[in-house]
Amino acid sequence: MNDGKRTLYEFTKGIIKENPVLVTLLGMCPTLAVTVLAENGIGMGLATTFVLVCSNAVISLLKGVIPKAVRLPCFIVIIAGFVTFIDFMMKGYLPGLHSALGVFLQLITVNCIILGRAEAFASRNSVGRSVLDGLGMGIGFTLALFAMGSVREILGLGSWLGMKIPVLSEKPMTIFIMPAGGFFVLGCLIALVNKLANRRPPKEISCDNCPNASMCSGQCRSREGV
Amino acid sequence: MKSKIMPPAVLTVICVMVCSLLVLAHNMTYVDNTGVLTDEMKKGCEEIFGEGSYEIVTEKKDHDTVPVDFGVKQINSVITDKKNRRCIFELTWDGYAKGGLHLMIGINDENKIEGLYFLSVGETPGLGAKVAQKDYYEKFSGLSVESDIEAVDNMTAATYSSKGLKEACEKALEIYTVHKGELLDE
Repeated sequence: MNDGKRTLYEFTKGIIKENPVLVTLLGMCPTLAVTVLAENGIGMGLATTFVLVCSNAVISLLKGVIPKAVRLPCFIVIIAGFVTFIDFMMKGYLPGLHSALGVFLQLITVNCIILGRAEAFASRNSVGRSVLDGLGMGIGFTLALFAMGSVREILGLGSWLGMKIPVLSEKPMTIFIMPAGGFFVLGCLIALVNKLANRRPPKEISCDNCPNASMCSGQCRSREGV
Repeated sequence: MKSKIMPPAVLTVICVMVCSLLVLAHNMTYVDNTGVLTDEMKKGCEEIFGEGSYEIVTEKKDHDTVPVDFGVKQINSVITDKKNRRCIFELTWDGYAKGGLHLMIGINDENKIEGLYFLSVGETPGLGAKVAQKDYYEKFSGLSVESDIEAVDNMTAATYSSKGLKEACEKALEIYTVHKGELLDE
């Protein structure tokens, strides 16, 4: 793959092919908890994208300075710093969204997508590529949350982005805003993405067809003694 | 030696830098809203008394301006309309749930309860939360004596919440009677 194509791939892979929610199934807690409204999905997605891009950039910058023994505490401190910053900003300028996202905003710190990208990508690649990777993954996360939030809000509340939908708003199916509805919509979206990507179950499970391959670098195989 | 010093040193430097930047960010985004009436509270005041110029009564405490509470931790703020001699207490009182009743109690110049307005109810839906129904809390309007308040029937299946509401009304009346002159600048 030439440099231009590789750069484009770093950006686009997170949107569909390695979508953190619908393909690698990471960050499930905020995905299921905040997607009652489409607006919450966008807010959570954008906040996570900001933290992903900034933390990837800083971690990539400091990769030569941070000793291996303390890399994870250092990553967490950097990520927590950006999360607290976005928390302050949202509290000051978007108090409604801040209270809607609740504790899940602070929990972005321990979101496995962010720590996963920091460990698997940003600590091994250049700043530019890390930023593109963070941006792509963030957009993929935001789109997945927005899609889930839209379906749940339309069917469960009979509205979309606060606008009432005739007929549906008179008798909404409240199961969709309950946890069970969240799992159901998530399952349907995963099936849809698999269909769109024409993804079939692999005949043999190996690193070649594992969406988490870039993160684990074959460590699971060595652990299992394969 | 270097391998022992470097990891904690780098971690410490990163922690210090992140903390310093956060202090800066906090100072940039912090908005002091002490003494600012929220839209919901303003709506509550107008629901109880109608239009007026309402403001939260504040006092200086250790170089900070804080809402007065007269030493009662359940009182969040006291709002007055001095021109029309109106007073509203914003309280968070325990019902069945701790802090389950967040309400405003309006007291008029005749030392009588003018009306109540619930900002939020954390009581059990369908049981304790029923005390926030208008047809129940309207029974407290016009009352000024503790015995009259106690005489109001408790809501069925919401005994603790009803008792909490009565205690809140009694405390608001008691504080108002003692501090009326101070609150309305007599």
